[in-house]
Amino acid sequence: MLSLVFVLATTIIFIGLGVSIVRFVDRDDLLPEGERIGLAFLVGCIPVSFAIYLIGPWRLDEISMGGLAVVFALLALPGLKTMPWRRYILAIRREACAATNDKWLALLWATAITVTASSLIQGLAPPNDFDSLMYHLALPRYDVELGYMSIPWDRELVQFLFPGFSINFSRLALVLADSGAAQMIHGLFGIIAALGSAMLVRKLGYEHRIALLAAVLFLVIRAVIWQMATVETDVTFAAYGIFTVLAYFSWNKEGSAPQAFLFGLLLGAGILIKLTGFVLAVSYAPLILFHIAKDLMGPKHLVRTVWIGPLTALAVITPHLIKMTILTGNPLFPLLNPLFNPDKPDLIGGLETLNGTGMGLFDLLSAPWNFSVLPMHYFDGMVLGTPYLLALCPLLLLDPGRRRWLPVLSIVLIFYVIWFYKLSQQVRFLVQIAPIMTAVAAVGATALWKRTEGMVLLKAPLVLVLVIMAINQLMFIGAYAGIRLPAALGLVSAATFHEKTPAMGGAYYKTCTYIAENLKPGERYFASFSWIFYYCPQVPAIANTVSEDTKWWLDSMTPPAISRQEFVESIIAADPKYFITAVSFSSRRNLSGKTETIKLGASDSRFGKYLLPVFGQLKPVSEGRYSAVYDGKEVITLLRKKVN
Amino acid sequence: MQIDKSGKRLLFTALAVAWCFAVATAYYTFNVAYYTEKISTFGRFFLTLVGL
Repeated sequence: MLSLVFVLATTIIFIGLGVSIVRFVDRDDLLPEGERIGLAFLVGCIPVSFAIYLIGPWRLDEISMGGLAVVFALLALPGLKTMPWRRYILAIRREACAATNDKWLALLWATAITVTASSLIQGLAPPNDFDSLMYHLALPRYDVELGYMSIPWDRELVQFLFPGFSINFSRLALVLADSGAAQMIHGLFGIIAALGSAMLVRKLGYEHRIALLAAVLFLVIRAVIWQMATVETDVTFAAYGIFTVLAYFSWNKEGSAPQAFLFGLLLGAGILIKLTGFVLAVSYAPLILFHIAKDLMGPKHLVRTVWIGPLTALAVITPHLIKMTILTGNPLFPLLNPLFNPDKPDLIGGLETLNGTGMGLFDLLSAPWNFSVLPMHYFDGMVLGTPYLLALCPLLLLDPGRRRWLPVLSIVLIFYVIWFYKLSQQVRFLVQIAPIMTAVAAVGATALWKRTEGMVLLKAPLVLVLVIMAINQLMFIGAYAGIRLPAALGLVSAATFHEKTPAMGGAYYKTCTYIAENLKPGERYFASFSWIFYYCPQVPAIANTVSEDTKWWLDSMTPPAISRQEFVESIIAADPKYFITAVSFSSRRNLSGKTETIKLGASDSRFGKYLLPVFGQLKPVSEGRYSAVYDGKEVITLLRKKVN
Repeated sequence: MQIDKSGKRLLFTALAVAWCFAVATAYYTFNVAYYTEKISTFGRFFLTLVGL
């Protein structure tokens, strides 16, 4: 209940804060109301995230975050007062009335509302996705335990240096509510991204049923359903991404300075959510150049304001760039590290070969087919679900207004090419531009549907294909709901949920909870792996290191050599009460997606060669499927014997 | 000219339907192992749920 109240209050505050800025930008009242609400939410997030970014390193507790919430609530009030609430109520009534006479509209609304509600409520389930456990939530928990924001260098995780625009909302939620609230706030961005997809369809002149179809097609993407109930950032980025598109085209039409500012603001925030924002920024470059060249030969209303967007984006990301320069010597860390730090390791090098069929031109052209039709063979699994985007997007060619999509598709094309050659070809990263593709798919599907009117021989197979894919996608939605809703609604305990729910490597819920319940203030424990999952106490952990130099990984790919003697002496000095170790991990990267458990050996962790033989002689005090906890005194006794 | 235009329109429409059909057929053909595993896993899950 606390989570729901928190999320509702946060939503209202975000919108209230942003609406004044959006009204200033849209003084002539040209933006449709849906676009204005989405923009207000996204713009309103920016001061909140920045305030946490500034205050958090000094103090991150109920007083600082509660105070911040009160201040922002007061600041949101004037904006909220200006909102046309009566118009919203009338619009809802009008839409409900229209839906009673239009079965397709009713079906689309029913699907949108059901899927959105399901995905949002699933956020109340205990977190169990790998990235959130490893850093999206582990880092905020570390900061909350510490009472201020810091960098746990000893975790040796490059992710802890990523710009944490949306991680700040998790910090706020963990201080004032819980992890469920953090997940639900991130789910809200899924709704905004879907709204953005719909508004793009409207902006390009199509009727609102097609817009609603675009929103639905986005909401039912398998990765979107999954991510909306987590604090992962692809969907969050997607919301900013699609609204940069809308803001760009508003600027392109009017050429006004406030609209250019808004475009830059959203782009900057996008980069701070995920570094792939730089890819999006680059994707705009040819389009901007084209429009400027065209403008120079015409009215010249864009030339005067074109610099405002990129400069605003730069201003938004500058604090992060300065921070990274001070910490690592590379403002874009970990991107382009060999360029800024030639003598230091490329910490994300080689990622581009992780997935896919190869790096040739044919691979580039066939990748959409491969990641849609053969996702389990070459890519990061069943990310999209059924290949409805692959089936429907090309149908845009049937639409008479297809040419008006060229500018938008140029952004997609460049993003895709960079994704292919420079990123890790994880299909989930493409979710970041999915709101554009779902808009294209909705228009394409409608074009074909209209063309097959009165052609039973063509309509019948089309209906068959669409119904099969719709039912299949519904099964994905149902599967996630079946797994997460019982836990979200409190019908299943967190322990049972974690025991039965597949997760890469497990959540270490049982073992971490054991440590959390038995570790007294001032006591510490040793983790024989560098990531300390969210459920483990964060600050008392000695993260797989005995050296004072916790930043070695910035300078070298191999850790400093430590002899058994040195290791044991350091461990005795640290006197950890427990040792936690990973014993195996699960993988579903196979054709059937079936869970395969892979045992970890001595070479899989830095001190495995010293610790694993000792663990092998002891009985764990707590044991899960993928991790085990050993008594510190017993481990130290055996380690001493080994040295002697 | 008019016949040509409508014939072309019909051809493109048929090709579009064929494309959708080909995508779906290829997807289910290449993912037989995935669906066999998932259907049996969720089948067991739902049987447990209804107490059978």
